Amino acid sequence: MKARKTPPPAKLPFALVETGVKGLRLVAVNAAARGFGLTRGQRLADARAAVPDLLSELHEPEADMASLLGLCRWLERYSPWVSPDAPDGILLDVTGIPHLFGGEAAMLAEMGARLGRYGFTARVGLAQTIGAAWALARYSPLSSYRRKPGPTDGLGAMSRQSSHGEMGPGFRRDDGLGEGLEGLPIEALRIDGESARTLRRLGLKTIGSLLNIPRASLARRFRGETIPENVLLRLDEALGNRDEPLNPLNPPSSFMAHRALMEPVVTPEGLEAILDSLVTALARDLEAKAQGVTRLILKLFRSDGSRIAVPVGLSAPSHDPRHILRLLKPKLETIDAGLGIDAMTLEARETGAIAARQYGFMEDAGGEGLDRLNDRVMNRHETVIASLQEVASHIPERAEIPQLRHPGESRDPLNGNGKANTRKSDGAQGVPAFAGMTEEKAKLRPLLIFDRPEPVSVIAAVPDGPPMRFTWRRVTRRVAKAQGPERIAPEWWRLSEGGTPRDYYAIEDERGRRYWLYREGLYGETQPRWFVHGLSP
Amino acid sequence: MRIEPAQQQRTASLGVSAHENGPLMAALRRHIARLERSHPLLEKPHARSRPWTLGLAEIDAHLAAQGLARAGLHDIRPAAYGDMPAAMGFALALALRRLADPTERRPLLWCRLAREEREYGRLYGHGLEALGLARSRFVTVTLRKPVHLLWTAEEALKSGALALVLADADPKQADLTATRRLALAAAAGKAAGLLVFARPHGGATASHTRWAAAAVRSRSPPYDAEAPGAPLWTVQLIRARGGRPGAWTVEWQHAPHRFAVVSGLRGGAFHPWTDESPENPAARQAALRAG
Repeated sequence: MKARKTPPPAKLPFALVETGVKGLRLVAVNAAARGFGLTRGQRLADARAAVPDLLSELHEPEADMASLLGLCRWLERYSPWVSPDAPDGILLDVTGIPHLFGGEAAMLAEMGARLGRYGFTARVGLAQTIGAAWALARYSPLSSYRRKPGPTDGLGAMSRQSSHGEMGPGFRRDDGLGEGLEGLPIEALRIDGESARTLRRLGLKTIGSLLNIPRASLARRFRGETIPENVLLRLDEALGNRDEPLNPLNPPSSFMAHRALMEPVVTPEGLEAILDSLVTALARDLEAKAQGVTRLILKLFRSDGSRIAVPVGLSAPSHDPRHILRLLKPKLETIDAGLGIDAMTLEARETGAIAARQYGFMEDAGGEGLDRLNDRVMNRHETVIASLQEVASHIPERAEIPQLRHPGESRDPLNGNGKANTRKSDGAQGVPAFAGMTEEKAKLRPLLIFDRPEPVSVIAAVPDGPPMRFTWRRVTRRVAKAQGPERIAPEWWRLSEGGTPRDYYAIEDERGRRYWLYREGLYGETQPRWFVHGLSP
Repeated sequence: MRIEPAQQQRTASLGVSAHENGPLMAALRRHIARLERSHPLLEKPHARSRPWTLGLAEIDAHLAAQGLARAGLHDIRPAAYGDMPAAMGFALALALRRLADPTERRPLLWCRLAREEREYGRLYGHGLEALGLARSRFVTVTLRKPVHLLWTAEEALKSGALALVLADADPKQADLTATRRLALAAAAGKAAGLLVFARPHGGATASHTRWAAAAVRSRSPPYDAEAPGAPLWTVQLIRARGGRPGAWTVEWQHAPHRFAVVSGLRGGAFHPWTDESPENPAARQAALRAG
């Protein structure tokens, strides 16, 4: 909604509405509207009666969610564990992080200030459990990042966010939990409206009053089917008696390096210097755990709040900083830094065990070099270095597939690796073994093969014989020599494809150029067609 | 600055036949040799590795002392438009001569352009095996743009992981500067680069040798007079650093990885730029007379 519509002036009462069963209802109101006593859930007709000049727009939950997710991604600059808490909250696990920003208070202040600059009204709470942080962010009157503590209504684009940090033992244990929550209303427990109303009717208005009640009676009275109905469960979650997992937006990576910068950096040289230190730090961590990375993501946070992600893939696990840097640097040149980059994160998304390898005097490091070359080609031009693997099929186009497997990888170095060895050991004079093909037939195979055989018009002396002349690519060629036919029948186990037998001929024209032609179909059954399937030197 | 091939040849022959062996000349030679570190004459012969020769005395006599530069750039172009498969075959045959070295364990990389694959087809492993290249010794990569291909070829040459890099080259992109880069990369990675140009052209490149290949009607095997025999090409050495140009008709014998000069054609003067068969000049004359 931020892109298409300008927000209404803050002074005018404004509300977002949605269509309910009983007409339009308010979903969110701004501060001015709240001043007139309008609240979430009111009918629009009632609100209009009270405030005739109320502006309203239809609520767009999808746009809200998209905006919330965008904010989540931006908040990854503080912690990798970010989770959207729909509809209007974001949860962050900041365990072990505040000291990077100069302490808890400084971090929260910076968070609030930055969000304020982007136009968000945010309330931040920090506690040991998700429940407590949620309650503090929404209901704490002490929150210093909000001028006026109040009920939780707000514009759709506004976001209240809570952060939840599990501090070390002893931290806030004595002053934080109980005391901070005791004075808060019971709605801060994330319970549903029905339970809250029942509790209020019983005279239990604050969380503190709930703490004095025996657990057994709470459990008996509020054993709800759903989690928001179950007051005791919510209470336990808020107090930390019960674990509540945080489901992060991105799978957290165990290896990451982060740098927050004092000033935004625009120049590629500056970015490269930071990247250098990130890669070195990550590679050191990886090496210490004997791990290599196969998939990396470099995240660059622009100072205008947007984020760029640069993915990089490796074909074999590696923790060599020089290699990783060589893959990342060309990508860094292509990014648009905008107004400047003020934080960078390098995450290892997929890692694999890496065994220390030593190349002896008989083996050279060729395999590794080829892997690295492949990584660079793959990340730059989106293509891979492949070897052609033989497939047990008689159909020529199916007889091999390109595969990312380097030559000589799984071969016995004593007798498979290289023609020179073959020649020496078995006296086969370097002729490779053909699966299911005699050498004579194998010699007919072309050097180059067309993915789609190209049709030719042919004049043959006898219907079943080799062609006398043929026209291919508008040039007529006279056949000087021909060898064949080699009949290749369709694979009967693939009957669905409905092939016809092919008769292949190796053809040499009067200029010595060679073609591999075939006739599809048999005379008498259908009208056969001729194709050029390959070229030979 | 672009040097015409004819002029290049003249200067090359001048370099060989100049006899003023004054001290100035020697100093200049030393200086040029220092500039061109990968010059075949100056390359230190490796203790065990065999020189990269074609195995034919007639042809090898035209090359510099060590045969083809083992860590150098060589280019091959078809003599006429339809001779591209022949040029590729000849490039492969040269590569196989290089791979036959027992100390060489690195594989071969063949960089293809997507455009050329559409035009002439993609590489077929069975066909490569038929010409003598084992499947385990080569890898291939297809690039979309000529610039990407030049980058990949340069990186591949530099990496040191490959014995040879064969690459489809586009005359427009693979100019003197680009090929000079490739030649330096080849020297750095101790690998040989073989550029296969898609069409005949006369542009200058920084390669050590330049060849043109054309297909010739083959000799039928003795058991079947109708069948095509071993591949037969007319190859022309257009330019060779420290060598002399020449033209020959050779047959590639895939099993022993060997070239053979065809006996009936030995010494037969033949101009490879014409597309005529060299076998029967009388018939050619007759055809010319007939128009």
